[in-house]
Amino acid sequence: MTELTGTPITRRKSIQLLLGFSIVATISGIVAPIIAYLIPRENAAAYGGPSVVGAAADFPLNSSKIVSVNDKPIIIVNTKAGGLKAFSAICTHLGCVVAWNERKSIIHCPCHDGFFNAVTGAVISGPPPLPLTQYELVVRDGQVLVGKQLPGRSA
Amino acid sequence: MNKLWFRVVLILIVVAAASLVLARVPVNARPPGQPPIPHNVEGRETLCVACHSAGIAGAPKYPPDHEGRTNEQCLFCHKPAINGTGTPAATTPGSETPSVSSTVSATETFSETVTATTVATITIQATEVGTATPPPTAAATASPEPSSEPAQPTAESTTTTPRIPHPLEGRDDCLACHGTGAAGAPRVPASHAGRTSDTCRLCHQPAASTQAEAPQILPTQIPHPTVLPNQDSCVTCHTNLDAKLAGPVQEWESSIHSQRGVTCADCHGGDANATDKAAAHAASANFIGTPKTVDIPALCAGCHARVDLMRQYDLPTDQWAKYQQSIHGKKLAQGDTNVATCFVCHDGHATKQVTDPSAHVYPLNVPALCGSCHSNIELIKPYNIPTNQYELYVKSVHGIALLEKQDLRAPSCATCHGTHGAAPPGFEEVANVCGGCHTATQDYYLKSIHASDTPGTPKCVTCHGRYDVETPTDAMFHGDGARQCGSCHTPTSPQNAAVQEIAENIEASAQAVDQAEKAINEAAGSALIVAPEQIKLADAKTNLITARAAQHTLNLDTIKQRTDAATKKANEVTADAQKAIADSIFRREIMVIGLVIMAMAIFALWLIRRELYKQLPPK
Ligand code: FES
Repeated sequence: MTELTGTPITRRKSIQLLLGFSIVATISGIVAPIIAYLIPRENAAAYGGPSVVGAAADFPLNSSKIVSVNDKPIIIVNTKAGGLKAFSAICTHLGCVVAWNERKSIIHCPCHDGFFNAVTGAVISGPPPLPLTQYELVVRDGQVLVGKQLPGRSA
Repeated sequence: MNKLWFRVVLILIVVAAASLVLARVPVNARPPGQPPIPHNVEGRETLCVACHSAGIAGAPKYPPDHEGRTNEQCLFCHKPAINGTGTPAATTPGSETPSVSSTVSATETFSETVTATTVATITIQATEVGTATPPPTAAATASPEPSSEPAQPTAESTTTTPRIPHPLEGRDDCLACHGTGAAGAPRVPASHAGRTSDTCRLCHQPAASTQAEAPQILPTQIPHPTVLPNQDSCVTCHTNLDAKLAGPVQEWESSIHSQRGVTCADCHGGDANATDKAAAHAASANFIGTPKTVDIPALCAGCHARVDLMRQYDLPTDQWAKYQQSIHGKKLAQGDTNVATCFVCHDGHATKQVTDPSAHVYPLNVPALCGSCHSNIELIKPYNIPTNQYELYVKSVHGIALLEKQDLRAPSCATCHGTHGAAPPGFEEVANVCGGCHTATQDYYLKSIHASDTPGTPKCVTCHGRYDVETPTDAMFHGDGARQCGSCHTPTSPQNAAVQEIAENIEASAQAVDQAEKAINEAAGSALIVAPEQIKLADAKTNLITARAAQHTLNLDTIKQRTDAATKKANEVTADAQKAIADSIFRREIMVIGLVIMAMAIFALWLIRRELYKQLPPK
């Protein structure tokens, strides 16, 4: 009988524990991603912080490169007049991806010949109604970093 | 402590007040009787010290106590006596002197443009002026030089000083030749020692013959008299007349001309300094009254075609030349006074700058301005041209962009037809006119067989229209209506087959892009991150849009290259987006199943627990 009286308590206890654990595990399975979502990630770039787009040597004078920053196409240009600059590569007219016109040292939209100043992003000619949005660009330890959008009129 | 502060503040105030008073003394408390300047100061404002320090050209040397003063300071105390440009020093308006001064300024203006005979009379007039000049104040002043001296340079310069017999263009450095006697140039006399090339032309004027080369501007023969502000007798009298005669004055008062000192007399002639009507309207005062319509453009050109006058306003000077080439100008020359003149478009007496939004020539107002005549059926009837252009234009892409969206870059009538040189562009010129803005399209078009000179080949207007340009659609490939490919290329023609192939490619890739866009939107709607796909979609769109422009080459390969790229990228985007959506659905299903299993397990545990607790003996 001692066996009988001792056993039910142990079983009850273990069942109790198991049940409690299951409930806690389920709830935490739902809540954990929510908490994880609220905690800032280590990778600042994912939140618009500066992210490395290459070594400064990758951007020689009078050239340009389209890079992806936070999943946005950004055109990095290097001109004599303005040095390294980063602009949104999306044309403000109908949204084409802009290109670089080496002979004229300006940013060119191939769709309708929109031309943009490579120092300020201002429209030089063509149908684009607004300048290209400029992004913060810094060179640190030979690395080019592109950060947040700079204020100004943008599409 | 307080007392100390009080003292410091007091001292500061006293010092400030004293310095203020001192600073104002030379200006306000200028002692009367400074020798007036007997010559015209225009163009010589920066030369006072240059001449009067060394005594160049007979200029009286300034007294030793004036040493160190600057050109600006001279003009604080010394005022022009006969006054070509400024305010008369010691005369009252209405007295003899202003009318003399008006002659001076008139002759000076003319001497730059008119013929030799006129110059001769001007010389005489100027001499008269010169001798009549020394005002009483000049004699009364205590100048170190004899009092009659200052008057001499003026008289001399127009009578005895040798004139420059050669053109001056590119020959600014007088002494390069006249200093050395190079190329047979007469050498400067010994008395001229120390003078620089900059001072020569103060006295030596170009001979009339060298002026003949200047473009012959219509001699309006209006003397452009100097009229003092608020003392223009035209304005004074006309303001009090009936509306017909006072209206122009009111309009003029709001004009840019009145702000820049262009007065009634500058266009209508007459003597604006006269106090009675007969004298003001005298023929001897070159009174014109209402200028004849045919004379208006040349009248305006009297000033507006002069680079020397317009440079300061950054205005072009080719309007008159252009106007004469325009349809308006040609008709006017034939005596047709229905045409637009300067006066018609430039707000009549209320002339406004083109940057003034209330000006008729402000870009937003141009279509209505042209329409005000060209939509007038009665007026236009004799010319056998349409009158519905304005009506068509306002509904066109261009009209909507300019007038509704207020986009100043959109073309108005003037953009394609010209302004002063207005004439309809020829059929052959159209591609260049449209290409002025639609550069990319023009580049493609010029590579096409359509751009050939063969008669009957289409130009921009053939497919897009003139005044009523619409947004082009893919329907243009298929129909046979006006402006559609089928209107020239019959359904069985090989060209039509080519058109259809081009259309298929473009439409297929447009569809692919559309689909990709929808897929992305759907993915974004399910809170999926689609930025990488969006970059790809932008690329696809870029290719599609360039393909649409490149269709003007009529070259299937060129077009296909772009449509293929667009279709490929768009399809990838669609696939990616759909995969992302499918993945997320799968993940959700797995989660639901997992939760159900968990729930069942929890429920089972709870049942067992209840069973076990039931076995407990009741307490
Ligand atoms: S999309 Fe860039 S100019 Fe049209």
